Amino acid sequence: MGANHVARAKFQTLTEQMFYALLCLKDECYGMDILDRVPAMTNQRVSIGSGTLYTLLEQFLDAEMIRETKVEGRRRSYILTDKGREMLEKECSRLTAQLADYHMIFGKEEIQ
Amino acid sequence: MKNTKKRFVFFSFYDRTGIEAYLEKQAERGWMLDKTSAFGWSFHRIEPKKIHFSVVYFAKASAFDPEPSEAQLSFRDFCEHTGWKLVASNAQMQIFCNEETDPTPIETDAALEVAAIHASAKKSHLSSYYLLAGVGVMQAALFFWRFFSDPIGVLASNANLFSGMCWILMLALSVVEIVGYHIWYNRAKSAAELDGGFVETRGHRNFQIVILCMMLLAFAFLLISYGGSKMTLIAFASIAVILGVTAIIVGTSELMKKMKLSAKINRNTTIVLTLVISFGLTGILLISVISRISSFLPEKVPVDTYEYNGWTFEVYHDELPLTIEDLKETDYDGYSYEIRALDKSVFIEQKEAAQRPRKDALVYPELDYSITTVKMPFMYELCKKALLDDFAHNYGRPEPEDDMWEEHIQVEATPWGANEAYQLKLGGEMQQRFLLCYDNCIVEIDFDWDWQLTSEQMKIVAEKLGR
Repeated sequence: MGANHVARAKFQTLTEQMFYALLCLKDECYGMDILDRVPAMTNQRVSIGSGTLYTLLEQFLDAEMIRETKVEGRRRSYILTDKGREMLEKECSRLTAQLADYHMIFGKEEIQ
Repeated sequence: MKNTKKRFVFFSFYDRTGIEAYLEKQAERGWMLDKTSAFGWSFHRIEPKKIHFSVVYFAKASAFDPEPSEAQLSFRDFCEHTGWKLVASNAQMQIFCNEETDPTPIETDAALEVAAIHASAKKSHLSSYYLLAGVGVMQAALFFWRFFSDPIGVLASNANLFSGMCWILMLALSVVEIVGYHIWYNRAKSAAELDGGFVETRGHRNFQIVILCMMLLAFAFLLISYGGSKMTLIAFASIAVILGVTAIIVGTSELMKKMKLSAKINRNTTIVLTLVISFGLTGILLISVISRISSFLPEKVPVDTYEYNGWTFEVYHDELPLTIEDLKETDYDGYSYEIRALDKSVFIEQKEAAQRPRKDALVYPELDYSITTVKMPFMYELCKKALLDDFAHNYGRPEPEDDMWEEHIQVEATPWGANEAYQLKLGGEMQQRFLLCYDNCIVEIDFDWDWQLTSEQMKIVAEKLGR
């Protein structure tokens, strides 16, 4: 099973790293900058390894979830496509549904 | 104090856990990796310190790339951005180091990492091991086929034993690497999909070292067994040729990289060059061995030669363990006494001896015998069976009524002082040809058809050859 297949299977539900990498690309952004933005965005809770991000960007491009906007030497910037946005929304709905189910069982006050 | 060192490092190609631990230990001892290659890993001295290493696999890279591709350089830029500096790379394997206390790993998604390792493995080492295993299976099968069809021919030759052992070891190495890799890969893939954890790699470093040591020991043993003869020279020449060919192939590939030729041209040229040189050398070696086979045999100088019917015959005066004179009186003094060592190994030694009158004096008796000394008792029965099969054989004669039908008849062994004795029966008539089984050796002896052996002569044969 190749990396793309792994990713396609995973794109049914995004991993946390995929989710935040895509989130960073709401606006045009250099690929490498995502490495700094994700920890900053998550208060250091989530970090993406440089190799992992490189592979994810390739797979997002293959799956047309992002598109390349600018190439400056080896620096490339990307932006989310409609398809990528859909994936994010789908994931967001799934997470919201999960959260709602949790609240239904434990109530809001239980969240630490 | 030396500031650089080179080490032959043994790791399974996918053993990133083992390689990282090894490099971190080297850094703690004050050695930093410079370069990895098939001919060893180079290090330079540094201040001993704790450095993190990360071995990652970039599947798109190739050992034939003239220089890192844009994609590979971009990958390295990403790593450098998070503090990981490239230390060395070898085809798909990229080795980075980071001196920060707690750096973010390069790979933070186990499933992607396992997939990258697998894609790289399929592209390089795994394919090589499959090829090696395929050739190893063929060579091992050939060895065992020869072993069962001609056990003495195989067991008596150190060269045959050496090459057979090398191929079996290579087969074992490739099977262990392939099976070991697939076990790890399946476990790692499942674990990554299940809980996102990375299953640490476990290579077969010790096994590789044991295999290499066994091959070196076998080669040393082969050299010792040749005892400084011309065969020693041939053994060294063979190793030199193998190393030379490897150097030419690797050197040509490196030259093509420097000339910036594409990876495709480099790979195809290297494959063609390897095939041409390998087949060419095998052919040259075969022709030279066949044409000069006599010069590789131990030199024997005849004491005399004579012409008979236009042919030249040689006369030898070698010291034979048993001569006609030991058995009966003769007034003929023109005999040639010749003994030849057929083959000798740690298991078996074979010699054959002949005492023959000149071709113009065939009225005098002649004597032929061979002695097979079995040095390892557990091989005795195998050798006896092979010699008995050879003693009386009926290839292409399906009917026992055939005039030339051969069979071995067990005869009384006591007069020969042997444990077992067999006599050849040819076309229903007993011949004066015997196979005598002693404690450590088996003697096949052929007397003239009209030689009526006495019990005293049999006793002398036992005394002279049966020890």
